Amino acid sequence: MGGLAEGRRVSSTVSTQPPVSVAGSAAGAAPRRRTRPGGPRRNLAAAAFLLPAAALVAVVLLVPFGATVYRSLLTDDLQPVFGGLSAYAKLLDDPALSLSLLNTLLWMAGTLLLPVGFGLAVAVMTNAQKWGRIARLAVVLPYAISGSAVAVIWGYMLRSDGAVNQMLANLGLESWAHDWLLEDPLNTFGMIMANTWQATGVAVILFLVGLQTIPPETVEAAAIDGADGWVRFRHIVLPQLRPVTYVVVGISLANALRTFDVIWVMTQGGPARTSETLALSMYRESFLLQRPGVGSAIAVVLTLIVLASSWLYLRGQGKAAR
Amino acid sequence: MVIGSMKRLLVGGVAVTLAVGLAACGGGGDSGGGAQSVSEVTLYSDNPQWKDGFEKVSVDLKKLTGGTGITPLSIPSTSSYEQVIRSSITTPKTADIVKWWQGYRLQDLARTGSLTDLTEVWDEAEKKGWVNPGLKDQFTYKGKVYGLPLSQSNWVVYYNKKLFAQLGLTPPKTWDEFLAACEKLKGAGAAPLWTGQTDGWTSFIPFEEFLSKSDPQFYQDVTSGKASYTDEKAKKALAVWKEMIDKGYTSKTDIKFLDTPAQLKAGKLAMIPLGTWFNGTLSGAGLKPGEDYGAFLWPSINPSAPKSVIVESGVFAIPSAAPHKDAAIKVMKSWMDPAVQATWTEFLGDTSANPTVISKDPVLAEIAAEVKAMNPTLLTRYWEASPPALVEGNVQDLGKFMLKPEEADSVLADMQKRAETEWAAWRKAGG
Repeated sequence: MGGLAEGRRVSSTVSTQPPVSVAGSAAGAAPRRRTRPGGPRRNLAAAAFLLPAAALVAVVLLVPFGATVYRSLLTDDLQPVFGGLSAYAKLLDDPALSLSLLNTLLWMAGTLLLPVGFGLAVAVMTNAQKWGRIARLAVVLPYAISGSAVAVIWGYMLRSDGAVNQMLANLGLESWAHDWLLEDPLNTFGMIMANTWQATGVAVILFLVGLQTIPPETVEAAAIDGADGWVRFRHIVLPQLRPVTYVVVGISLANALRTFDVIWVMTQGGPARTSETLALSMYRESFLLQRPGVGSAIAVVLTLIVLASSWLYLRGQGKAAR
Repeated sequence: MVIGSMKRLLVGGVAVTLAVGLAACGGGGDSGGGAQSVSEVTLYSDNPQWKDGFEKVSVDLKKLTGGTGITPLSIPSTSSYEQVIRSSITTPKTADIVKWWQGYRLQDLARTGSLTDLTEVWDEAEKKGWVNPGLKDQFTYKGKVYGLPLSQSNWVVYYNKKLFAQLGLTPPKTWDEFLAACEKLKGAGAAPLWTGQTDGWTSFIPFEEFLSKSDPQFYQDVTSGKASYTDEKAKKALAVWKEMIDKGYTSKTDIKFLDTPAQLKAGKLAMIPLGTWFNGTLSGAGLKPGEDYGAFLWPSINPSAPKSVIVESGVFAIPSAAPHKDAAIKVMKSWMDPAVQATWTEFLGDTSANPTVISKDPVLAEIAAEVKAMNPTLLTRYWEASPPALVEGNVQDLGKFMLKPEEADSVLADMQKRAETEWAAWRKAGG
């Protein structure tokens, strides 16, 4: 307290001095002029510091994006000519691409609900337990494995003669067995599960950090007031976890939209393009089917989806903060 | 003082980084005059298992070229490999030699101007009798040759010899015998015939075989855009396939082709329809050729149809932007040499495109004798027989058929629709 009061005193002495000298010089605008001269120079200095970062963003993000938008307006002939929005029209025309868009939305919903939900549940349930550390380790560990390795492991588990079906057969549950990676939309659900298995770890870590920042007094006070476990969680813990939830949701959203490795290794988007997402369609159209125009159009649409979802999300976050 | 020395260090560091970066950028510029000093040219392929073979061949090549060998680099997924080559081939960062595919796939690269004209190299090899002149068309675009054959593969059916012997089966000579064998194998608990689609390309294998073994002429017509996929003959081929799926003669479709040797070894799988290029992979997986497995040519479905065999040859081509183009051409001039081909095809376990090189492998020798006796029409594999975008799209549709065989008609209609669009695009682009 003493330090704070002292600080205030110091600042007040500093702030009371200038008017005295200003009054002495009899120039009303002087103080503004005196603080301002540093302004443009400081701005210039700030710009110099910002320039490398801004230039880097421009060179590695904005220029390629501009080139992609330009390419999406050209045709896919050997000598491309201006084709207007024809590539975008093909995007709407092709049922494989509509399905790809739908799968992308499924991935968004799946990665928002599952890793975030599981992550929160695991973090909250293991936070106060003695054995929680071991349980958490088991959940967090897959995060250390690369996406491709996760896909190879889950691919072996989910294929028709894989571990999952073998286990079901051993339990006498043959009727539950499926060709997990061949049936649509089971293949997409299976891959979302594989992704959840890996991505829950990071959500757990972030939620644990969030839980540790909650002052124990607030929870204890609620307990003394007679609030049971669920009420304490719902009304005391959860509201205080809001900032970290935004971070977790943001990371999950970005991961969902850029998912490529898991799908490419497990199904290559197949069978018959039924498990493709926009990221895969972009790759297939650009590089395998040699239609850079359509590929670029998908890239632009994907970018718009990312921008729109980020905007909605950031706007929500801003409101919540207010 | 400290700040001053840090500044100098920083400036020095930036200068070094720039210098290294510039040197790396300029690394591709020493084609032409520098050929004599090049001791290794880079060769890209999509098969990591070929590394040892290339290294052995490199020793032979060095003797013939006066010191230039090859450094193999691989990208072990066909789809990723294609993407990397296509996007890098016009840059100086490309390889000196790239492995590619014949037919329309080679034409697709050649027509963009990204490949070196190898007509002279081909003609020289042909004059020496080192290459089968009948293959030339598959390597030619607008009168110029753009590649040399990696091997000459016939498409066969590999079979589990022990399993066949246990069940008293012999390689089928007729379609009825083939179906009877499938029934017996299924009864013994093995998946009779491997058919897969998870690799992205393998779904065309049963299609091309059932179509060409019913009517080889129609197969040629439909792949060259002269006949329709909705023709009765195409419908019949899919009906044959559907019957096999319905009767349980085909394997689950999510077994990748590189996983089939293990399945064959374990007796879970009885027959694998692939090219003779797969022979080396089977023996590499610890299966003894002629003992554990054998191979036979597909029997005709329609007994009155002319005999036919699907053939395939990988291609070695030189990008126009190859960093060591002259050295690469020198290597290609020695590629078809019998000494090089003998080493290479012995490693590969496949037939050489040089007719003077005879394989010692019992499975290949048997197939070569069978082909000689049958004198079949040689048909280009489906993958190379039509424009790439058409094939890439159609293999996806065939993958759909494998899961939903009842939708054969709509699958064929989709394939025909794509054929019309893609042939128009190919011709418009000057193909």
